[in-house]
Amino acid sequence: MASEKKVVFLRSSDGEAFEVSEEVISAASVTIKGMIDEESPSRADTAATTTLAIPNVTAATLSRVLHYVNKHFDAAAVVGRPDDYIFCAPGDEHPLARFDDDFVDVDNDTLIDLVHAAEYLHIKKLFDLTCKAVADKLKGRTIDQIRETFGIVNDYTVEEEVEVYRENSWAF
Amino acid sequence: MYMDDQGLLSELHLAVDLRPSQTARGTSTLGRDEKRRRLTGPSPASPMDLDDPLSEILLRLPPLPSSLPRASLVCTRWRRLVTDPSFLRRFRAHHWKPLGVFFGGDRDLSFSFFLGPRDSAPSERFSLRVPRECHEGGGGGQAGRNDCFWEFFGCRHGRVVLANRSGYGYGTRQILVWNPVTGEDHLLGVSQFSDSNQSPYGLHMQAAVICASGHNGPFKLALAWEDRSRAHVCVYSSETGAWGNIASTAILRPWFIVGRGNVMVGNTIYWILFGGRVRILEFDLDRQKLSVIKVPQAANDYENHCGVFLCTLAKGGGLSLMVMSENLRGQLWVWEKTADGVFQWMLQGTIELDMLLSLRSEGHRSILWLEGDDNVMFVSTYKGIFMVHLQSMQFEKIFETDAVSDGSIFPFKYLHAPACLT
Repeated sequence: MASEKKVVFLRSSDGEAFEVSEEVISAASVTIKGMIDEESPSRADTAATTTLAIPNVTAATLSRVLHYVNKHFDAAAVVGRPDDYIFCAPGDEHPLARFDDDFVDVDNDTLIDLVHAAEYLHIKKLFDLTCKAVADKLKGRTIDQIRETFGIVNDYTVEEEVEVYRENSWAF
Repeated sequence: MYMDDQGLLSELHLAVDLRPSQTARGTSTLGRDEKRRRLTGPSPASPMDLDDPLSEILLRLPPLPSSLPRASLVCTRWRRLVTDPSFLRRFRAHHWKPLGVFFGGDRDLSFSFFLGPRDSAPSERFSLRVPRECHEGGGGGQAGRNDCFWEFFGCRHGRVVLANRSGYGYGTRQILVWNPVTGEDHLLGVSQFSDSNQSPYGLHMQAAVICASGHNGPFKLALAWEDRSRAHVCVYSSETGAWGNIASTAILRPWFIVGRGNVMVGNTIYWILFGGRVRILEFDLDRQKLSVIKVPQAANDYENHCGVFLCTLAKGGGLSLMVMSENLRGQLWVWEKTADGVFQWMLQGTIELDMLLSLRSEGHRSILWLEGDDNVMFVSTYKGIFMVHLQSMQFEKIFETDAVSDGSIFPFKYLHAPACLT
C-alpha cells in the first residue's frame, strides 16, 4: 500500500520542506536521484526519512516543480500512452498538453525561476517546456520590449547599434 | 523502434541536452559546484544572465529568417551567442522542418509554406516568375522566352539554384543563384566550361551552393560535370566574382552522370554519380581535391532498390547512403573510419518507412527526395505525401493527395545567421 512507498523531503532555500515519492522524484530529476544514491548507503539500515536541501530553489518554485513532477512522472497518475512526445502521431494531442500550457502561463519571473529550477534539478522535460515558453514570450515583441521584459541592459555603443541595425534591417 | 542504432536516436537528444556546453563545463562535480556558485551569486540571476539557459531558450525561437538577427540586436552577449557556429549547428538540427517546399514540374514550380509566410517573407517572392522575367530573353542569353528551360537543382543556406538550358538542347548555359527572401539573384554563365569540339550540344552540369553568409552576403557555388572520362568541379565565389581552378578526376567507363543529390559534410561536398554503377564524387574544398568513392554492393544491386540517396545520418553528421527497397525499407550505410584509419562502408541499420507510415503492403509509394543535409525524406504514397525526419523518425503529412506526381519536391530552409560585426 501507500505506506510502503518511500518518500523523501526536499527543503527549499527558504526552509520549507516538501514530501515527494522517492520513486517519482528519482525518475524526474537527475540531480535528486544523484543525491539519493549518494545518501543511500548510510540510510540503508535506518528508518529515518531523508531530507535533501535544495538551496537554489524557493518554496514557491519548488511546489510548482513538484506539481509538474507528480503530474508527469507518477506512473499511477499518468494515463494513456507512454509519456513521450516523439511517439505521438501527428495531430494527437498529448494527454498533458493542456496541463503544460496552463503550467507555463505564468508571469516572467515565475517562469524564469522555473527554468533555473529545472536546470538545477536536471528535469529535462520541464527544462524543455519552460525554455520554449520563454522563447515564445520573445515572439512578436520589439527589441525594446524584449529588453524591458527581461531586464536586459543594451550594451551596444551607438555606433555599433546603428551598424547592427543596418546589417539586419531586413529583419524588422 | 525504427532505427536500430542507438547512436542515431541519441543524436536527436543531443540538441536538447541539459548540459549545453559540455566541453566547457563537463559533467563533473566541479561543474556542478561552479553552476551552484553562479546561481547563488549576490544578485539573483535571471536566465538572461547565464549563457547556458539562454542558449537553450534562443534555440527554441521559431525557425524564421528574422529570429536570430532580431535576437542579435538585444545586446552584445545575445549577439555573441547566436553567431556562435556551434549554436547555429544546434539551431539547425533542432529545427529540422523546412520553411516550405518547392514542388511540381520544372515549368510550373510552386511554393508551399509550412510556417506562416507573414512571419518570414512575402509569399509572392517565392514565385519563380521573378527570376524568370528578369533573365529570360534578356541579359546575356540570346534566346527568347520560349526557348528557356529552368531546371531546379536544390536549395542550401537559403539560396535556390536553378539551371537554364535550351528547351531542345542538352547543355547547361547558365546557373541562377536566387535568394527568394530578398529577391537577390546572380546569373552565372557556364558555357566556357564546355569544349564545343568535344561536346557540340554542351554539357549537362550540376551546381550547389556550398556556403553563404549573411542575408545578402557572399556565397560560393560548386559546379560539377563530367565529360567522356573525367569528372570536374569548379567553385565560384561571389565575393571575387570569379571561378577558381578546375579540379578533375578520372571516372571509369561505362559512362557516369552527376546526379542532383548532394550533401555537405564539413568542408566537403558529395555528389551522387549515376551510371553503369553508382559512385560518389567527393570534393574537398580545403584541399581542392576531387575523388571518386565506391559504394556498397547493395547500392549497385538495381534489382533490389528504388533509390540511392546521400544523407548525413552517421554519427557526427558524416556521409551516409540510404538504399531504399521497393516496399520502403531503407538500408543505411555509413562511411566510417576503421581502427586502421581507412574509410569504409558499414551497414548501420534499417528503417522501415512502411511501418512508420502504416502503409498496407500494396498501393503507390515512392521516394520523391531526400534532403541529405537535414536527413528529411519526402515520400509519396497512396495516403498522401509525407515528410519524415530520419534522425528522429518524426513525420508529417504535407499534402493529402499526390500533388507532385509529375515532378520533384525541394525543401527550402532559411535559417539565417545574423550578420557579424567586423
